Amino acid sequence: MTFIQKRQLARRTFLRGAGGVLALPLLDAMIPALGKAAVSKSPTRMAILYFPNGVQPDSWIIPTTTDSMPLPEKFPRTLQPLETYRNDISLLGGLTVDGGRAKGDGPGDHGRAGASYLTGAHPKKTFGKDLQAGESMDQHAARALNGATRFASLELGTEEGIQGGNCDNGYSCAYSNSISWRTPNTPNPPEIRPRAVFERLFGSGEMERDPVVRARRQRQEASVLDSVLGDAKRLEGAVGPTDRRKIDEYMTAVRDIETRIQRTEQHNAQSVNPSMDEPANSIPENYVEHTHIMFDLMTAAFQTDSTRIVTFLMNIEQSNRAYREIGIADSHHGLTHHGGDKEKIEKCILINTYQVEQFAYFIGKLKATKDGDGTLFDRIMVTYGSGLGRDHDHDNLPLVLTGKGNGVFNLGRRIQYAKDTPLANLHVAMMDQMGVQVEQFADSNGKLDYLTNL
Amino acid sequence: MPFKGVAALLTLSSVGITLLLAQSPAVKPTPAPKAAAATVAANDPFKKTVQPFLAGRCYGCHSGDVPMAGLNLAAYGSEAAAEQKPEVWEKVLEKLKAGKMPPAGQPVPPKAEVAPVTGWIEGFLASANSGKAFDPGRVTARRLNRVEYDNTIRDLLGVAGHPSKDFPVDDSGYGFDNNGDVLSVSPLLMEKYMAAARTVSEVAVYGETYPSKPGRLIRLLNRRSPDADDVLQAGNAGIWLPYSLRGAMYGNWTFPVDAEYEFRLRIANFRGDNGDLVDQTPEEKAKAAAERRKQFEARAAGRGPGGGRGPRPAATPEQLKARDEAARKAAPPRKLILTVDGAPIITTVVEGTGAYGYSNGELTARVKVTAGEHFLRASFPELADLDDPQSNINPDMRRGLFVDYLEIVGPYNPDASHPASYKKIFICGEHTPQCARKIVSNLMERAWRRPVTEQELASKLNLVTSAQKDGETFDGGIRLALEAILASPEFLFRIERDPRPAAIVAAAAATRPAAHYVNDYELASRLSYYLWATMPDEELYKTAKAGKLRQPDVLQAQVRRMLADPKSQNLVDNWAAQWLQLRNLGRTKPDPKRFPNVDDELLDAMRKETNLFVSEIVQKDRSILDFIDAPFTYVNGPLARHYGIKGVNGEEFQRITLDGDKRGGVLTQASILTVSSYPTRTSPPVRGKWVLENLLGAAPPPPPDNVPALNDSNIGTEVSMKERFAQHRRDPSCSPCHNVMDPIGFGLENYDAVGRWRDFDGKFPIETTGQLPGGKTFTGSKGLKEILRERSDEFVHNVTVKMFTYALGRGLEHSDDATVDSIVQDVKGQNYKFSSLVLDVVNSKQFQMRSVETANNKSREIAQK
Repeated sequence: MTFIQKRQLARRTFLRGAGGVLALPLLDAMIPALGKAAVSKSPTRMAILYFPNGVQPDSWIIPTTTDSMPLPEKFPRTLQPLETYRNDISLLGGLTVDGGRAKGDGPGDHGRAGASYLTGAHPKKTFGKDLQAGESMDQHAARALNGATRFASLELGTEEGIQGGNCDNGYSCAYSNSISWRTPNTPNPPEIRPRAVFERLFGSGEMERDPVVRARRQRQEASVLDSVLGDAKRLEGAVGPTDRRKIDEYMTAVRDIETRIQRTEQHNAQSVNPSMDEPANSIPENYVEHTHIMFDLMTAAFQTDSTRIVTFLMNIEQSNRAYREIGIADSHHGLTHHGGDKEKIEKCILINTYQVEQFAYFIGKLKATKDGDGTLFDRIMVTYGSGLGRDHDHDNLPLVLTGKGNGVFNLGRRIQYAKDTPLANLHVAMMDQMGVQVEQFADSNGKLDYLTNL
Repeated sequence: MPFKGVAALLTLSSVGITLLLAQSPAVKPTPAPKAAAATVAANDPFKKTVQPFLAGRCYGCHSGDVPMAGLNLAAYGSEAAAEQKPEVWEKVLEKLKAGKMPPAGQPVPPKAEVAPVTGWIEGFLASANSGKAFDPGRVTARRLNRVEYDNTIRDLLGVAGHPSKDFPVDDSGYGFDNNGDVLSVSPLLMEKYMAAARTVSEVAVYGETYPSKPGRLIRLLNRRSPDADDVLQAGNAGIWLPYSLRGAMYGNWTFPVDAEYEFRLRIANFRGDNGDLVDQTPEEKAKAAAERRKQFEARAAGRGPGGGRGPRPAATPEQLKARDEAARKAAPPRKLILTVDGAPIITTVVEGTGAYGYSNGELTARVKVTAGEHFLRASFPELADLDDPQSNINPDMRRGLFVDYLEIVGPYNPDASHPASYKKIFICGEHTPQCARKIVSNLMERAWRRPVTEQELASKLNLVTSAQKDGETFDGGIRLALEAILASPEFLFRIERDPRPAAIVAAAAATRPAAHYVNDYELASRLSYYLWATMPDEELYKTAKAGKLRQPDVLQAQVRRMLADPKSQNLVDNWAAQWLQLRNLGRTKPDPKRFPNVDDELLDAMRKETNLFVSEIVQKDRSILDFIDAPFTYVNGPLARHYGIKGVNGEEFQRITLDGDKRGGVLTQASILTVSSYPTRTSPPVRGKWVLENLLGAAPPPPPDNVPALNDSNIGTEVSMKERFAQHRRDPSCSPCHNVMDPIGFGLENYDAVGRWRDFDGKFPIETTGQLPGGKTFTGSKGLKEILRERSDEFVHNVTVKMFTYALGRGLEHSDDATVDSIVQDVKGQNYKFSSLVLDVVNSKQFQMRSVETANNKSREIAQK
């Protein structure tokens, strides 16, 4: 099938029509698989998976007698889907996000939990002006690794953010819609559309095949960016400080794109064959399908070294989603205010377990995905956790660690840290393993022990 | 906001001050030296009168680590501390004066004890505003939100569709998604802006892409069940349209080019599915049907014997024929209509069959359609009048009759001339620099909503020439300039400029904030984005350009013209829908097991009812009190049946008059009743909160996070909702708020969680009589609406606040209070006409002016944080 438009160029739908695996003509280069350099030294990657509304502690916590012990034969209910991966995970207990606590600001634990999880900040209570949390750990690392990959980071999700200023007792919806914060005032909203993620990573089939036309397009793109940056610079001088903040945001975003275009050119020599089909142009409503395709996309992004840092919001904080796929018609958040009702607790556990099942899929996927001379599982660090623990508390957070982090993690254990150990200590440890040395991050007071073989 | 202390109080004469002075003959020196604190206390009205009152009456709840409503009054140990937070004291004043605090159940303080306290607060608030220039506020540069972006592209270039559909959701502030402070630009959004600028400019210049040979463009399918699972198993690659119990299919689709298109439509006709049961008695039929349903559900739950259908008994040709005939007789013929924008394309009659209905094949029609978005609907209109839509559902849960798919094939004989957008761009035909200049300056002026400077124009003309040098065509060069114009911050943001360089203003404004009128172009944009959510049209822009927009009669005429324009529908879709929280309708769908008759189509009908209702208030300039109660609404056949209203048939919406008994006003509309319920049941506190928050502007404080939830497992079976809540309310930490919220919500208990009328909840009769704090009793929605009418000042105040917030694109500040109050009074004097509210907003200084941001007031703002 050929397509025309009123201009001569055949574009847009050509590749889509080809079906199956989409290999970008632009990047489908001469080198068959990953570049040689990649084989000898595979970089460390990091994925942070977040689930909302906390857990029911009795179905999650494995009692410990010592600080560190091997994981038992039998897991508590919520974690049972992970039993097969007993030796591939560690369960971390005792970690706390102090910034999520009320500190005199009253209720609003969901808003605070989402926005403090990776920032360690105590978010400012506001549902309008003056959004303020902190720079998140993934963004700090992404900035430090600037230039290593085409995308500094990816922010993914499975639930559309809520509109309407006040989401949680006076906290803006922005706080529960994002865990990744580029600056203390700018959340990075997650992308929930699989197709959009795919197109962002691997192109939309709109790439020109004619090298002359393609080169001209690139020159045009650069000239447009120059031109709009010029507009922004003129504006900067003409507006007051508050408006200037908005213009600065704009300029930073434009420069981001410039950098990425340069990187794409540098990376042209490598193949970015995503080895997966282009997803359908719709948002899956079934949770299994949605999470799995997002995990597939993450895997493809890591595998092609398009990015090394991904955050994945497996539903927004304070999510009201009803999990009808497993016969639960009630809102998830509503259920967590169970007031001791056994039936509601049971439903909470079913939802938590259902989500853990999807996490298990990702572990399997990582273990099955080749990366250099090993698997992606060997290279990656993944945390699966929530900013809420028992009864909307912010201490002793549920947290699973998986991936070998390029050979340093000593997995298969249950590690209980001292009460109120900052989660930021884990952030510091993970950033360190990414090659980003940070003395201190948010409220950290050290780097977590027991993560390595030491 | 800093305050000058008591010295300033003396210059004022208000009741508050008189009272204050009576109690404090000596003036407190400011600031009070710390060492003298003990002696000063006697002369310090705050320490002497206010603090003891607070300690005795309020600290019980409003102090400590987790104070009620997050309000810790004990934190204000001195007048100086209190002065830091005028907004807190404004709330305290409001509650005290309205008698809302201390809450019902607590001892009521005598007036003589309250008066000095309210007097002190009033005096202190007045001093906060004295000696200051009027401050119209300053709105932060507003980024276009998704709706505004699409509308602006449409009006600028005539490019249809939704270029913003892939943009991330806009955050909202103060309840609306047009808040300048909150709308940010993430790198992801910037990428989407760049991509959209490219795509839109290409479509505008070259037209949409479409296949060179006619082919299938899309197969539209609708959901197969109220839940989504079936959609997912299909691994579909397309668009899934809403689920309709009545088998309809509807949605929008964007046609790429003026051309002929063939519509291919197939229906599924499963009405013969019971053919093998015709000889059975009704009891046997029912039993067999129950058995089938059980088997079906078992299979659906994955416990069944391997899925698929069970073996059917073999039948002789005679039996088959008889079965067909029986099916045909049992299932009445039904009309089927396919419409495009309401115009019928296919009309036919479908007979009952016993052969699953596919034997008819596809119905086809070829018609000319213009490029752009069109509304398609294929349906069986008579099914709108089914008393029970479940009668279209077979025992196996499939619908008896439904539109299976609709394919669009084409384009045939496409119009190869330039798209309409091309003519809008290329206003001259020569490929000369002069013409390029004309084209680009016209585009820039319209896109940026103001005349452009020579320097700005040159920057975009450069792109045209350099692209041409690079081998691009003239049209291609213009396209590139257009791309840059659309990706520019001047297009994406609505930027307002200070008339003079900020530095000079800052010097002049060192002592008081300066303010200025926004220029006529900026005012035109403020108007058009407020009333239309899009750029100014030619007339409005010309009026601004002629410098006439500030003439009061001209401005009023423009506002009235704009309200009468169909584009004012944006005020309904964006302002009203966000104010009333309608956008949340369907976000969590009512539980299909409990409410099997509430399908996507009925949710859409609910939305449409409120939409049409509000539209009439806007377009016909009705009273805003109509929101509370009005003798009319809009329903179609299915919604009328949902309401139990007789005499309305068909799919089309009709305006009906109401007797006000069960229905009337937004509170009794299913949209609002559903959005303020849980998916499984009603919640009186949620509805009560909805009324307080959205109609009276008096949102109760949020509950603490660790409150025990309501045990709702046996409501309706063992205990009534009212009794369960009464138990709940006995908890003293809950009662202050729930004593206000719950009675209001119980007043609406005659409406179930999807807005149907009911007299019983389970086995318990509905009891809607309630008592509000202060002793006022009322019954049902009628009684509640009477109370709301009595409190119409509060209601109008709240609507004004919502309208003002939306119109300005910023949260309201203390300095806006006086304006809001005067608008409320004026609207009241003008019979509450909708246009009077809009005109008052437009005529306000806040709408027409902005204060200058100086280093001075900026730093004060920071100091306050």
